Amino acid sequence: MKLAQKPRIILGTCVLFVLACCSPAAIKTQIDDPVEPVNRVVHKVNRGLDKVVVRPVSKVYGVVPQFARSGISNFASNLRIPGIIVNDVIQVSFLDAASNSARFIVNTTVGIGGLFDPASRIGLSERSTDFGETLHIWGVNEGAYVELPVFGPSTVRDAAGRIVDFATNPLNVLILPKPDPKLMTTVTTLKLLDQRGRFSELIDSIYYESEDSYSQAKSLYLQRRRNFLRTNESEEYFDPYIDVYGSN
Amino acid sequence: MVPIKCSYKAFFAIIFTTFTLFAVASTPSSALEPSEAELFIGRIVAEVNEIISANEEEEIALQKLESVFERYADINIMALTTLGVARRAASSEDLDIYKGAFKIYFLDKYAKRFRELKDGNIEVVSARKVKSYVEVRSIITMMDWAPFDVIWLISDRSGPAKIFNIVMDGISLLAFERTEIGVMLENRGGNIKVLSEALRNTNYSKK
Repeated sequence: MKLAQKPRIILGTCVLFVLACCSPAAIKTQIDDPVEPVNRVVHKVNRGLDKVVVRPVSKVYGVVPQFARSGISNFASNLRIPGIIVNDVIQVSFLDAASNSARFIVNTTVGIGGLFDPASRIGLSERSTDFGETLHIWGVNEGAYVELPVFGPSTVRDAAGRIVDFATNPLNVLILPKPDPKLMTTVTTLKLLDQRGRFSELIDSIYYESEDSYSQAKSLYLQRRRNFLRTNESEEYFDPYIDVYGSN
Repeated sequence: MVPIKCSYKAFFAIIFTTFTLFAVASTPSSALEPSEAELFIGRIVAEVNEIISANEEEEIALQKLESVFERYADINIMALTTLGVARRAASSEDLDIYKGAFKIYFLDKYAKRFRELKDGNIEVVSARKVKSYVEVRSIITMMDWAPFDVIWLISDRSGPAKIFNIVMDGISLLAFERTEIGVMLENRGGNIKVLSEALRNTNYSKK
């Protein structure tokens, strides 16, 4: 058993090394939505779920004092960091790995297990990443747009990334199941409720006031996601003056 | 022969002058420098910061934000471009009605969006020229939230320098509204008057 593991690790390292040499996938500008009818059905379900459960529950959760909600959200964010560091390392971005590690240590100790976020105050804001981004860096294309049940807008690549992230966060796999296997899910859910409450007007305006909430949710997700993945190249924006007045 | 020579000279002089004038006139009037735009946004951001951090009554804060956008945003061009191709076929009367309705809708909606940045603080970081406009990058920090980018696009092609788009965390306001208005118009059979009426009656513009 032990002997068989070694070549596997070596092979794994080689694969990672080769992948690290790939160039990132090009960032698409158009929207690829071949399963729109299915997505629309899921969207309807998600919207219903928000209306009947998430939105009202977030209102109730809003009764909990702000400091307590923030504490729980911070705690949940802190639990995600080890998973982020894993991605930093396989992306060979050691600066981010170091910064996020420092953040995790500071918030876990000084921030009392992650309830507080003193790290942000000393310039160690979270440098977020995920396995979806890792795949992007390895040259995997975004793939089709999909709306996931409960989790909402995503793409084929990022949905795959989510699954891998869940399975590779060391806390999720090794440590948390011992005190309580549901801890991660519970605090993450509370964090999402906190965010739903915090941005309630914005989210309401997209879900319930926009003309076609499906298209807008899709467009907003893709714009934001692509912007997040766009590291060096800056975007050229649509110029309304050329549209209206013609070119210079 | 002499007079002809003279007229040649005159001819070239006229050609030369015309070209010079033409060149001067057609140089993009955007003498808008990145540094200038940065100062411009700096002033606006200072106003916005003051409003979103002050503990004022909701109504007053919203009114103040509306006034900021009314002064500094090129709402006219936003209105026209959100109509897309329908603009070209529209009568000037319809366009005027639409522009009025869009303005109310826009001001009310985006005052609310900015009001949600409560306790946030925006800081201008850099400015650069892109084609005929200037992009000013700023970062907003809010309590318990990772800082994110707010990008302001400024142009002086309509006269004085004005904001024509705001891109928050990668999300373009103009792209959002182009989609939104496009779908609204389509759902109303392409009728701009009906669209304008609907805009005046959205949740955002209940005046």
